Amino acid sequence: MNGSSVRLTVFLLAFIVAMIVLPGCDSGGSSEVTPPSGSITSLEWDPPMTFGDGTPINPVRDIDHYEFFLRTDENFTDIDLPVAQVSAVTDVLDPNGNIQSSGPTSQFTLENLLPFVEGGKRYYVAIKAVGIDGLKSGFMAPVVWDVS
Amino acid sequence: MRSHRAILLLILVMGVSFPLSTSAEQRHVTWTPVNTYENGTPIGADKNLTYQLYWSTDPGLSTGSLRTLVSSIPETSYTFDPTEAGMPRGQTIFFTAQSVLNTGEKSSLSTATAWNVPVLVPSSPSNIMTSNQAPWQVSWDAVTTYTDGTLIGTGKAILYTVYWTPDIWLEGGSLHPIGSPTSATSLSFDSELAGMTGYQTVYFTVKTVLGTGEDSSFSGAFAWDVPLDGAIASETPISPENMVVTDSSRTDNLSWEPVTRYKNGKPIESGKKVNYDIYWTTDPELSADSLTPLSSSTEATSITFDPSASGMKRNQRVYFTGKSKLSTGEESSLSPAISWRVSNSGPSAPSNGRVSRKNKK
Repeated sequence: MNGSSVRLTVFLLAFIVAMIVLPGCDSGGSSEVTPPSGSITSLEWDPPMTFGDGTPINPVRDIDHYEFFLRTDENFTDIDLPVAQVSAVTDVLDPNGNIQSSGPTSQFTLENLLPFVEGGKRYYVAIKAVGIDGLKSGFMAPVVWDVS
Repeated sequence: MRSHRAILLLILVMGVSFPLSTSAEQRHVTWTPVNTYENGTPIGADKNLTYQLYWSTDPGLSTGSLRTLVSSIPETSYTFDPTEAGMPRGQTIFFTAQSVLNTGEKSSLSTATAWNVPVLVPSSPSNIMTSNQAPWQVSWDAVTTYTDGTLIGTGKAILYTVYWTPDIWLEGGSLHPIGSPTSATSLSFDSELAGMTGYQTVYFTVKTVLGTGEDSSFSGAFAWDVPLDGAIASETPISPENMVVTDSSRTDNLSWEPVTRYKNGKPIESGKKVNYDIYWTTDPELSADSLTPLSSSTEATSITFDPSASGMKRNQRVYFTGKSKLSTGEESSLSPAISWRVSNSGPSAPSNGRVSRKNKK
C-alpha cells in the first residue's frame, strides 16, 4: 500500500456488507481485481481556526473528529443524527506503512455515504467539528450533493 | 362470534389532582363511557355495566402481568395512589380496562395507555439561618412535601443532612458534613471542630433525606462569617475578600477587595504596604502543593490572566485563592476558594464547504 491513508471511522456497515457481497457473487473461484474507474466526489472544507469565543484553535491538536449529516433539505437541526464521522487528523504514510506526517483532515469522499442516499436525488451535506473535550461546533453551511 | 359483546371505547386519560388539605398523592384515570355493543346496538337500560381497571408493566398486557387497580365500578374515572398501588417509580406502566355486563358479557381489554410513574423528590429545606451568638446553631424549616406539592406520607422518616463549604456554588467536593443526619430542624456545631477558621465566610446548605432513600437537592446557600475566636486573633492581615472573575473574549479578570485590616479588626497602619499572592488550582481543598501562582506580590487588587497561557484547560473547573502580605512580613491565610469554569465554548463551525469531482487514479 502506498499513498495516504485517512483514519476513517464511518458508520457504514451496510456499505461494507455491500462491498463484500456484491462483487463476484460466485463463490469458490479466483477473482480478478478490476482497477477503479470513473470519478469520485469529494466534500472539502476549511477546518475551524478559532473556538466559539474567538481564541485560536489548532485543528490537529484541538479537534477530535468531524461529524457528517445528510438531509434532503437545508434545515439541519440539533436533533439530526450524524451518518458518519472522520478523524480530524489525516496521517500520510510512507511506502512501509509508517506515519510520515500528520495534518488536518479537510476532505471526505461522499461515495462513503451512498448507503444512505437514493440515486437521482439532491441531498445537502453539513458537518460539525467536535473538539477533544467533546464540545461541538455548529453546522457548516450545507453543501449541495446531487447524487447521480 | 358473540355479536352482543360489550365494547369498550376506552380513552384513558391520566391526570393529577391534589386534595384540599392533607392526603397522600392522588392520580386520576378516566375513560369514555361504554353505551353500545360491538355491533353498535345500544346497551339496554335494563343492563348493568361496570368496569375493571388494570395496570401492567408489560406493554403487551400479557395476562399474567395484569394487576387489578379496581373492580366492578360503574363510574368512568378512578383515583389512586401510585405508592399504594405498588407502581414502580420512574418506570412506564400501562393501563387497560374492560367493561362487564351484569349478564356476564365482557369486552376485550382496551388498548394499553402508557404512563410514567413520577419519581417523587422531597423538597429541599428552606429558611436556613444561624443563631446570633454562641453556642452556634444552624436551623431550617421542616420539609413536609415533595417537589410536586404532594405530602410526604406520615410513615416516612424525614431526616436532614447539614453541610458547610467555603464555596458559594456548593461544589460537591467542597462540602463538609456537620454531624449525623437528624430528624430535628436545627443542629448545634462548633466552628473550630467543624474545620472553619475565623473571619472565613462559609456557606451552609441542608438536604432532605427520606428513610426510603430519596433525597432532595441542596437548599440555597446561607452565608455566615465565622466569628473570630479571641485566641486566634493576631496582627496578621485578613485574606483577600470577595474575589470575582469577570470574563472577556480573550482574557479574564480576577479582582478582590483591598485588605485594610488585621484579623483582630484593627486597621492596617498607613505606612504598611499590602501585597497579594494569587493562585489557581484544580483542588477545591486548596492543598499547598496544588497551587499555581497567577500573580506574586502584586499591589493591585485585580489581575488579568489568559487561562490557556496560565495552564488551565478548556472547560476545566478551577479554583482561585490568594493571600495578603504586609511589607513587614506578616501573611494572611489563604482566602476561600472561588470556583470558576474555564470558557467552555466549542470549535467554531468548519467553513467554505464545497463539492468537487475527481477522476479516480
